[in-house]
Amino acid sequence: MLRYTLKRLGSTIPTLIAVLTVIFVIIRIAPGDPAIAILGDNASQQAIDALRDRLGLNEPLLEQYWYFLTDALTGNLGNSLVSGRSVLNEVLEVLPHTLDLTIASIIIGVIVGIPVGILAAVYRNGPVDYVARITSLLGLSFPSFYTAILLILAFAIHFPWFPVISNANLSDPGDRLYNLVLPALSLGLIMVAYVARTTRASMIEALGADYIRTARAKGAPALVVIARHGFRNAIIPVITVIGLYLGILIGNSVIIEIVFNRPGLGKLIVGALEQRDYTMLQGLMVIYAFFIVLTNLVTDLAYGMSDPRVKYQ
Amino acid sequence: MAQPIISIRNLTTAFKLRSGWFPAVRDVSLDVERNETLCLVGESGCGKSITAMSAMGLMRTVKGCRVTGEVWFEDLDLTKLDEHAMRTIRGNRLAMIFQEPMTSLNPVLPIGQQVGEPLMFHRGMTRHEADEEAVRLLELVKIPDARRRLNQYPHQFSGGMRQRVMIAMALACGPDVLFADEPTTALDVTIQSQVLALLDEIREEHAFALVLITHDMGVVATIADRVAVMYGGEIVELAKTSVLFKSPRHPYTEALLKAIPRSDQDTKDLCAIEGQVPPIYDMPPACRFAPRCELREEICVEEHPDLRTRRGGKTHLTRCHVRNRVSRRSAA
Amino acid sequence: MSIATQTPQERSGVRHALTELYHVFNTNKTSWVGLIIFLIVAVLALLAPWIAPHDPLEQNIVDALQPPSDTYWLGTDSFGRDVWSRILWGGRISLFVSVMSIGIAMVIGGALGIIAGYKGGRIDQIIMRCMDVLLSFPTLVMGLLVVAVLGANLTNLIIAIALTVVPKFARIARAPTVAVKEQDYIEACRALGYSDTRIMFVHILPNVVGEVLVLASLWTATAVRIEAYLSFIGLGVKPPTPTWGGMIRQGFEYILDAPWMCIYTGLAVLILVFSLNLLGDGLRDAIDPKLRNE
Repeated sequence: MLRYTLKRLGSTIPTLIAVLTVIFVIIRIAPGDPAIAILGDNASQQAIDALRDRLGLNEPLLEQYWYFLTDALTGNLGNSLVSGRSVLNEVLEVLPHTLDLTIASIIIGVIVGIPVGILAAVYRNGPVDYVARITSLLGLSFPSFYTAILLILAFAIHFPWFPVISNANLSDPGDRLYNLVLPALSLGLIMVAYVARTTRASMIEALGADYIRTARAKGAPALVVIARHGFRNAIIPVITVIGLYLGILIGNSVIIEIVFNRPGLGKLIVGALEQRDYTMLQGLMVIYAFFIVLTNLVTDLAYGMSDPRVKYQ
Repeated sequence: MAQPIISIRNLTTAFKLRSGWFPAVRDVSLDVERNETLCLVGESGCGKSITAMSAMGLMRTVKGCRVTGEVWFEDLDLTKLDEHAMRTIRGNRLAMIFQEPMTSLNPVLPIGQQVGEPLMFHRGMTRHEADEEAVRLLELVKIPDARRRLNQYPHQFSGGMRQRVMIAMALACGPDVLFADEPTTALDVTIQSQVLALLDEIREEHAFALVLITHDMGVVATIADRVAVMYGGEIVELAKTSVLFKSPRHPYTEALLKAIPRSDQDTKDLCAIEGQVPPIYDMPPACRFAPRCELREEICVEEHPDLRTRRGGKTHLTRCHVRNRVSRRSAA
Repeated sequence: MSIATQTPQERSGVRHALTELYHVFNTNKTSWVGLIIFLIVAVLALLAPWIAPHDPLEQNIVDALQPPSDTYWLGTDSFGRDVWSRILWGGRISLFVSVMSIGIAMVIGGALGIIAGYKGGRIDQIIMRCMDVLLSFPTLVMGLLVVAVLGANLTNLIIAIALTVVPKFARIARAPTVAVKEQDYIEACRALGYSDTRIMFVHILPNVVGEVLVLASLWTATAVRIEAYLSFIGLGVKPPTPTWGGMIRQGFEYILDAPWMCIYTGLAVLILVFSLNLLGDGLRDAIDPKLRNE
């Protein structure tokens, strides 16, 4: 496991550089001058030149690329053009809100999705399976802002149990949780649908395996067959897929944060877009790149831990 | 004949296909004695494995599958037991090992846990006690360094070693009957004979009944006390091994024996049986072997032959119109 | 026609692949339901100029925020515009953006996948490495990035969505190509001196079509959502052009007084996405050999 971990850690750096390169390319292929975009068409040539200089846009492209990479890898994301504050600090300030939301929805997805998937697989082609399949397909068809809006209409307006605007006080755990319920449910619903479907498919495959027959031939009770022999094997692909869905979650959390007017990376991104905060935008993309690479790493490590074939190699 | 330990009576296992129910195993009756090795022989698809799986009650949860007939074990008809009661017998008094040692072991559980599992189910042992017992069992099947290997996973074992693990697992509770479904087919030739020798040795020592399923007549010759030849879901010949090899009576058995490669024989003379086993939805209604049979007569395609003895003999049964008639005539 | 007289060309024709697809359709009823709902939505959107009861842009402040009635079936928005008419017109944008972007991604990604799989070696590695990096970006994040940099308009929206989906198609097209490449009839084509391009696009393509179409319907569903998300954030087609995401954003501001704006527009997105998912999911079940034998 140690060797696997080290090997996997070693391969993250090239991946990170590749992802950062894509971001750099996309940012720099933009037609037009970022400085003009930021300052507007009426800005004086002098102001534009000054800004170009400040952003390092006058350097040769390769040099810009080098600075971009080294800055990103050392965590130097520059200062916001709007507030003048460090991009990293602004991100770190709101990050707990986004993490709360993402982690809570994964937990909801796992707690509800896995049992539903297992039940559907065990009673395959029966009524339970049929209902589970159609509902989960419907669940993952729900646009996340629609889920959020319906939940607000029901549980914040019709029954005023939860706040419409979810601006939690991070130092108060009760308040933090209370503000998290509706946003996490909105995002968690999608996760439930995805996890249930993946678990079902994976479980069906595991239950058809030869070692299940062996377990039954040993006289194993049904629950042991399903949980110990079936699920222990079925969970391995599910872990990978949850990792993949983290990307979907990160994307959808942007929408949820806007609907609930909740602080987080999503709101930061939209604010930066509206105010043409070039460095903030670039910094956020770098942060997302780190997230992407990190989730891939964590997924692979979790996969390695759950599968002895990887663990002992 | 002594009291059989397991007695299969008129076992029929049918599958539901689009156009109705079709038997994969039809009217099979077998008695197996304690301390005996009985081989079930036949080409793949003849119903050997399904016979064993049905006796173990492993076919009952298969969708579109119906098992009828009786399986007597001690004073119990196993086919009448509910799943819960059957579970206390399966892996305890009746055990089974399978053809594919590569896929039949759970890849994510350590070997020790898998071997000890039956003891926890049936003997109420704790994990620790079961582990200790598992060491003994792994030593019994001659796995070197058993204690260390207890915590290893199947992928760390070779094919032959995995099959030994399967055997250890099946022997955990000291079963009365062990069904072994082609236990050596997936292994290298040298490993095959080692595993067979091990099975034979352990069977002698522990005095259980071994039902060995194989398509390899060479295996039969080395290990079996009695042989049941199956074709198209039916037993077509049942005899002591020595008798069967010396004077096979069913044309299918003859053909099987002719197909064994021998070192003193030119490969040119090897006989392959023409044609294939018909699929279960397209079985000939009378004698199942008739379309491929050289002795075929009119009666063979009109009337279904019974499995019966030649006059005088009691232990050699054949399902063939021609051979049973010829023998009667010659006796008269 | 007997197998023996078939040339490799006939056996692998696109028509053959389509007949196959038709049979696949028939084995799974949910895919028919999905297709029919999708077609109804598509026809309604296409016919918007003729069937919409009101002008989607016509403001009528007197009638602002009217609940659903005989005149305004699904109510009106804050400018007094008819929500039902705007949903019909917004559907045109949704369908156009999603079908175009997935169509482009399907062609480019499919071609890249087939080339990578067929050529193998260095070319394969370079293409698939690039695809892997692109693939690691969540679709919405990538969409945000591209539209933010290039500017929010219809073309950039399509480019942004297409870019994130190209690698999915490349992957799905590559696998069967690698498998088919080694088969006898492809060898036969090579022996006959057919050009690589011809082999790839006449003989390999039909083997890839099935899975690519399944993926296309599933990703069109996602594209509809991404388009709605981006216009919801304000990065879509600019108002006053009606877009579903934009309408929901606007409706959300009046959620206390006029919830119908959000509810009905969201329902439209849901129905379209669900129909495409039903379609794709049903087709996938029918095509997947592991699930086929039921």
